[in-house]
Amino acid sequence: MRAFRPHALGYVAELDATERIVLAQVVGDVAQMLQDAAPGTGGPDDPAVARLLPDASRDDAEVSAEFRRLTQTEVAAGKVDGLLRFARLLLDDEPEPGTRSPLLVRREDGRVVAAALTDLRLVLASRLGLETDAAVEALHEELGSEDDPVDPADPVETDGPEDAAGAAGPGPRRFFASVFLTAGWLQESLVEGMLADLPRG
Amino acid sequence: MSETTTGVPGGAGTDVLERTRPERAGSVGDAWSTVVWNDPVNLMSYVSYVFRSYFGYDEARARTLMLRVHEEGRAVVSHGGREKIEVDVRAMHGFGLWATMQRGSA
Repeated sequence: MRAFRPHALGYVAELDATERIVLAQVVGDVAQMLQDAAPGTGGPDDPAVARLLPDASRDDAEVSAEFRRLTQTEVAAGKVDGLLRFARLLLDDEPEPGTRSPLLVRREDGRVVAAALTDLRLVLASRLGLETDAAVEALHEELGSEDDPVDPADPVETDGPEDAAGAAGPGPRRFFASVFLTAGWLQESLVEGMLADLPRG
Repeated sequence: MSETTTGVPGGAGTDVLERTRPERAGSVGDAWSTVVWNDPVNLMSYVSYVFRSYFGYDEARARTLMLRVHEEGRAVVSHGGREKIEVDVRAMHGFGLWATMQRGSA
């Protein structure tokens, strides 16, 4: 995998077929979680979904309920749309085994892809129990620095995302931690390009 | 907030904080505010990007607010009437930031 770099049309990274499929699968799972979350005023039961669709007030249940009624369906649909666009972008190309091919994020799609990477990382962090800055830093130290991304296609057991919840063994945990760090590394390089493209001032 | 950016230059002193504080005390319509809370996942660069691209804040103001979120745990990032703030909070949730709305500007 190669991080995003500026491109005439936007930002371009390089991913091999396995990296594309692994990321698209997990991104698709996040979209599915959001689609399965029934809209309501009480807030989602799943803490990961609750983080994607948080209460709008910390101390006023009426404000939170009214906000959910007005916005939750639309916010969730927007996220699902962005996640699926990112997944399709990942699967647009299938490079030969062992080779990488360019993943072009057009300038106008940067915001959507960066948000999809955020949603993916929020869900993985929730599943991994990463609740503090220190916990995330410890994970970086455990699995490698941000300059040395972990290959999500590492040959560990990839038993499926459902195993990330609850009593997941070390294999699935390492797998999802790797995807979390890799997504952060990709996002950092993408956002760096997006910041450079904003008007100065 | 996740510190995977390469260093945060100093310079967000009191003077800057005061000057860029997005408060407009006394405005009749400013009964509500948008609060963004720190979380361990969002990248500092991404939070700055959101503040710049969505609110149109300049680089210094966006950085000051981002650092306030990171260091103080929360920052008030916009003010307005309830409907305007609902729009802002909805947008923040769309970006994946942890945002709430509250009455007043503190």
